[in-house]
Amino acid sequence: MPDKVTKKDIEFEREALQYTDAVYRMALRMTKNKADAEDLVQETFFKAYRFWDSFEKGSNCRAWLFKILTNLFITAYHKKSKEKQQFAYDDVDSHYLYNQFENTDYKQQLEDPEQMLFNQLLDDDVKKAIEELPEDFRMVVVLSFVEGFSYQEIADIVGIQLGTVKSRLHRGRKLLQKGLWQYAVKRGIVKEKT
Amino acid sequence: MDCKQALLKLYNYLDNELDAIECKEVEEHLKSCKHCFGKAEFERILKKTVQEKCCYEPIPEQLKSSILERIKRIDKCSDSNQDSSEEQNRFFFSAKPELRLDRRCFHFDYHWSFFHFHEDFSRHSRLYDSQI
Ligand SMILES: [Zn+2]
Repeated sequence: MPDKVTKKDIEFEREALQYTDAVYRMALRMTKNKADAEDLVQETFFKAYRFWDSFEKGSNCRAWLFKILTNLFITAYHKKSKEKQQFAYDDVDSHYLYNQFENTDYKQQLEDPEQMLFNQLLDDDVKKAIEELPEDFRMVVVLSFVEGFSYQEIADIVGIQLGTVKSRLHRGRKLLQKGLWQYAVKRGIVKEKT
Repeated sequence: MDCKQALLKLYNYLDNELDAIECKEVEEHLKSCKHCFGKAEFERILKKTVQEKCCYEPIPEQLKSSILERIKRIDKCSDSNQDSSEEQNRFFFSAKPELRLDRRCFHFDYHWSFFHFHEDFSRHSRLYDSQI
């Protein structure tokens, strides 16, 4: 079969395929394993290609791809995940990590948190802490923290109200900080108060 | 603006969600309050750290080329780009579980053989595509 490269192919390759890394990264965080992430990425670009005509040229292609990915994840993967969305987050304060340091013997680490804490956490610690968040919170945390989307863009991508974005992000942030503290303890960067 | 108000707006400030006036108010407070400044710096570095530690994870070349290949194949297989959504769903949802199961087993049994199982997957999807 002769290869014919269409205008659509060229456009799609230029506009959409530049975001493969970002889409893959998001898929990994959401599915938490490579095999499912690869499926999800394939499906995302496949669907994007098929619906390329409905993409408004000149608008934000990265956000559009993330919207497709998020949709596919919610419809196809969410169902099979047994994850319970119930989570005890109310006992976590705002600025949890900072307060933990302030209230323990590690106050001096606040002088230079980058050197004393953050640089000592492994990439995998941070990724795992994110992956341990309940799905709904994880989604907005990744879109905001890692991908840098605005609250309004996140609302459009996930298909939720702006207020919901803010509250999920708020809770997600607290839980993430709690998770990171636990990894700091695990790494021996800090010792849990007994 | 007092500490309570400043901290309430801190995350919105760090996420660039404040308008110019609010931004300035928060900044004024941070300049004059050492404690809030410390918190703000901590949160800013935390956000930066999370971003940096998660951002480098490039897509495997194998997967990228398989996406390209699959897209090209699809285009040639169908006369029109305007496939019905029914066909779309058939591809995504009825074909998937079976494939997924195959892959999962393969993956479990042969952890070392990532590329091999990938080939296996392409073969399956090629089979499926030709059935459409
Ligand atoms: Zn203050």
